[in-house]
Amino acid sequence: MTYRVVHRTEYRYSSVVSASYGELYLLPRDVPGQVCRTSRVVIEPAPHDYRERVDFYGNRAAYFAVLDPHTQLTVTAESTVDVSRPSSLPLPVDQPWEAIRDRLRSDTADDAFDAREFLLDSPKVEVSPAVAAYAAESFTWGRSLTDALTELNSRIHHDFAYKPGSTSVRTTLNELLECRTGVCQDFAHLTVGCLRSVGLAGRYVSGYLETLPPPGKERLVGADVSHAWASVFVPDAGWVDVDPTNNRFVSDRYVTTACGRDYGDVSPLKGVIYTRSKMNKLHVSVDVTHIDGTV
Amino acid sequence: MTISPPPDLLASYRPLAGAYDEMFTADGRLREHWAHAGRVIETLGLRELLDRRSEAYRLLDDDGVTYNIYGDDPAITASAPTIAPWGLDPVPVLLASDEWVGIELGVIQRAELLNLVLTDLYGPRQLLRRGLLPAELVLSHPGFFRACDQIRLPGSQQLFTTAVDLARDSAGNCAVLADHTQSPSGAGYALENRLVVSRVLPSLYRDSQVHRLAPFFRMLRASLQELAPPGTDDPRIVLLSPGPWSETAFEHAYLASYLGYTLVESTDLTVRDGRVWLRSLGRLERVDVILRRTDAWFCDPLELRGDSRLGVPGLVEAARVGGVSIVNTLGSGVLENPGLMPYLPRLAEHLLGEKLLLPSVPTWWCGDDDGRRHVLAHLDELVIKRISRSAGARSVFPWELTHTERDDLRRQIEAHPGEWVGQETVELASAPTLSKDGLEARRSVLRAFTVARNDSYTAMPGGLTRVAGSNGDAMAPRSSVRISNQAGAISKDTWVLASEPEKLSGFWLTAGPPVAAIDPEASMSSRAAENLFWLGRYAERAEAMARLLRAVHDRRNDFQGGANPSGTESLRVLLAALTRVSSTYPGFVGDGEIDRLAAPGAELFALVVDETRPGTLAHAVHHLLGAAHAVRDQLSSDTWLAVGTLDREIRDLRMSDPEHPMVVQLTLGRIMQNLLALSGLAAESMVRDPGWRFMDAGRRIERGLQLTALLRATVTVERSTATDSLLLESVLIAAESIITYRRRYRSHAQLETLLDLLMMDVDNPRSLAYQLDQLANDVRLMPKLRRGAALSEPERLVLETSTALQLADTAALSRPGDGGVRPDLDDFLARMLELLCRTADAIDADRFVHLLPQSSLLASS
Repeated sequence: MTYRVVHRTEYRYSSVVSASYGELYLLPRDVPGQVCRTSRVVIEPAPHDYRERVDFYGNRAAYFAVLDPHTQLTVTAESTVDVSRPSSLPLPVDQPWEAIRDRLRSDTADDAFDAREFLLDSPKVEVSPAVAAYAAESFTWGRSLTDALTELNSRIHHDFAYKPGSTSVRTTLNELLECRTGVCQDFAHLTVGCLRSVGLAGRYVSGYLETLPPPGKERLVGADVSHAWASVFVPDAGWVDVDPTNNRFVSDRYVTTACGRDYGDVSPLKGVIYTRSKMNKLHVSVDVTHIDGTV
Repeated sequence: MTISPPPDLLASYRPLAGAYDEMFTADGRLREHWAHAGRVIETLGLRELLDRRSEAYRLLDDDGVTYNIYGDDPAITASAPTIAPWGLDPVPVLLASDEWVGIELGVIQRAELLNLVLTDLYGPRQLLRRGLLPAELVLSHPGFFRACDQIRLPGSQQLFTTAVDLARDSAGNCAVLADHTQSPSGAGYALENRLVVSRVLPSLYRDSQVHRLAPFFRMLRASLQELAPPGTDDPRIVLLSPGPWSETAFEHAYLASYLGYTLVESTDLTVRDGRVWLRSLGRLERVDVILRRTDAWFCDPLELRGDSRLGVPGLVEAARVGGVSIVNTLGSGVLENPGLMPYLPRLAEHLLGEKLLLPSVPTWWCGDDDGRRHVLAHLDELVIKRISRSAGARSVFPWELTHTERDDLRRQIEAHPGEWVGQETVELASAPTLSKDGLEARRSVLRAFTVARNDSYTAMPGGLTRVAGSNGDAMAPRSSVRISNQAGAISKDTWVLASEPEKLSGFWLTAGPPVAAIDPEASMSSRAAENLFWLGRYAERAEAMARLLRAVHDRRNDFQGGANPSGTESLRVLLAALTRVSSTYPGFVGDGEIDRLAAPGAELFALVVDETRPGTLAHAVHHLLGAAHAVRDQLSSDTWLAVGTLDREIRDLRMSDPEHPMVVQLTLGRIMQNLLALSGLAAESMVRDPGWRFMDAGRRIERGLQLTALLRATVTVERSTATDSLLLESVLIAAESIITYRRRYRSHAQLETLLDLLMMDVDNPRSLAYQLDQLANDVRLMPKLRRGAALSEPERLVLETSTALQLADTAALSRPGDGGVRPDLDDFLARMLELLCRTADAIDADRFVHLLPQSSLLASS
């Protein structure tokens, strides 16, 4: 599958902004089963500085600075990405989750070492007793990882209502467990927290969903905004992605942008501006279309 | 009252039982290297030593040496700190040469080791991969900045300066209590301590062959020079401070001026083209090296803490692309982790192939199973700390907790063991410290400093010793670990005694071709210029207010409650003028004026002491000091001699009886003295550089405004001859021109001649014409933001004001119209006031960089 992803973010201000400094995570990285063919970022007004780099986790980040006065800022990222995810889950996932947990601890391979960082709490994912209790219901003794994960995914999907605006980037997992509503970022954080609470490496993935479903398939939630899901590390098999928002394993209808400990590591666009403007308007549009043939 | 004979200082000294004492051996003999100092102390005696201590405090006060104390994190709370004077005990701690060599080797080896650890953690991270350090210990530490991964300084050393807090156990062996690698503070205070102690104990200092501290700072300067990004010939180095209210603000300014670097705050810097630039006057100046004194978390709101107002967005990016060298590196705080201590012996063997020379105080990291078991089993005996000081919480002393609190602590450790360490308590050594009754043994901790030099490190010979603020602490068992400035500790100079006379090396005076001077415009930030401008304005405002208050007090002494109607009337006009000139309405002009005019004491008192009310003397003094603190590195240290006591004068007065006019008068006199000393310094000791121009312009504008406002509030109405003669006299006194006027016009007081002298006379340094002349010069010579041949807005406005003044006809203006009012004079003065205000605004808009408020880009989901 080849996708064209266009992610446009527009800011409008009620008074002049003298300078905007930003960091963006909008350029899709390569992951097993995904290759980014082309990508470019257009910023208006034209930035004085723009530099891309690879971050601590292997993601593609970019720094920019718009130093001319402006009242409007748009950041448009456009990429073409080949996705060919396996349709079935990797075999080791059928082992008991405890076996996978224990193998991760003793595995000396580099990717396992890197994965072990995702066992630790992170700024937005603190494993509280409430999170651990929520996870424990699915991670019962001797159960296969596939079963446990499938059930956890489906519980989150059923227990929580998808409701944009009900949470913010500062909502904690305990608050989420209280209010039972949220958006994909929250569900991804909760899944990551549940995985970490049982000793599995869980990471946060940001990306996109195909906007228009293929004929005969349903349109997925979160298709017209940037999406987020969770991923668990399985030694010898690698990272296995699950989408609690849509209650499914991640297929070739998904495009990965970046992975980190939580939202804070990979937020699509953040920045610092200098202005007296109080009325700041934000408009985001995402378009992910399936394109045939060569690009 | 009987006077007991002075105690024999050494004989009555009682070292603490069970502790090592710096001066005495366990069997009560004076240590060999204290022999000379011991004799001198004995000879001087208690009274003389106490005098020397007072002298030390006077010197520290004159130099304005302070330490700001906060209840909470200064970057988050907006509250101003308590400015505490720096505490210094005049009796130094002496270290014998051989003893110091051991410490020196230890701290240098430790710096080398920590440097290799830091280099690895932001590079290949082999120590984690190979299990030499637990990955969690580093990856969970808030000081490990993923954004700073792979950023490297030029050269082999990634760790630039270190400090260690050393404790001596009862056997006299040194162990490390804590490592400081974020932005170690204290070296500047140590330098100031040396300066003061060598002045109050000059002969002891001279005869003791003490290692000097200056070479250490020369090394620091030389090493900083070499850190510049490759290809930089003459690197520009700045010292980045969080601002005048940070804990160690004194030290930032002191070091900046001692080392000759520009003191900057984050708003003075900007990032573009992958480099850092100083917003100096009228242009951007490249910055190559930043000596960082702002905690790294706050340094870049884009990539580090988003809510920081003390940062420069893009700073991490500039460091990443190698456009600037920041020391200590932004990620260096990862080493300030007591959980690393148990691993250091192993790391020393692995990385250096050596045994660790200087042990840490035994410490257990709870993230390790054995460590946690040990800590939980010995909870009552250990000091419990977080692995990161950014995590908030101070050290916990479990033996001080209740049962419930201790159980709670245990649960917290069990829930997040990786965040905690337990550290053994140390029976800290004691050092002789002066008290009013003699020498007291107080618990002490030594902070030692190193700086990178030639692929290794140099240690400062000496350091900053701190002793408990009172001996109460020393008596309590095991609580000795709480010796910090925030907890009221006082400092001591630390003398490393040389075994032979030191050879002087590395002089300031150098041979070779002349070095190009740094352009003063390039080294001054726009913020500094703006503060100097306001320093000039507030200094003049305070002076004018003090003069006017004095004139009013004099008239009040003459006529208050008296039967002389002209005297009473002139006093009433003067009181109203006071309110008008200072804009402190209602005062004597609005609501409640009748009561206040009848009993003006309280209001007059408030106009001196109430610093919360704009227009008062206290308010002007407060802002004058604020501006002076903000540009401390630009001012000569004598400035503090002049202004250092201003706020104390006002504070003391505030405590006194408001109805005692003599006290107020005396205070006003002393404040005048200080302010005159300040303007004398400005006239005689400051180079006429751009900074001086701004300060002088501030002064000229303010003096013009004050004078014009005073005239407008007094002479625009004609009153009885008797009243007006008294009034004119007061105006001339307040405008500091009475003697000239009397000499020139003898007894014939007339408004016209008064206006000639106060407005038109270009030779009277108190006249409006004189201020405009000077101001024209100042604005012409000030650097501009915009270049061009045409007159700048401030120049144009000064010309307009000055022309209008020259064309004024004082005879016509003085003539009263209907009902005795002088509408033309009133209009004219109002116009002058308006033009002067517009000039001030134009300088502000035309010459200073104004940043819009910082905020965050809205998060997009």
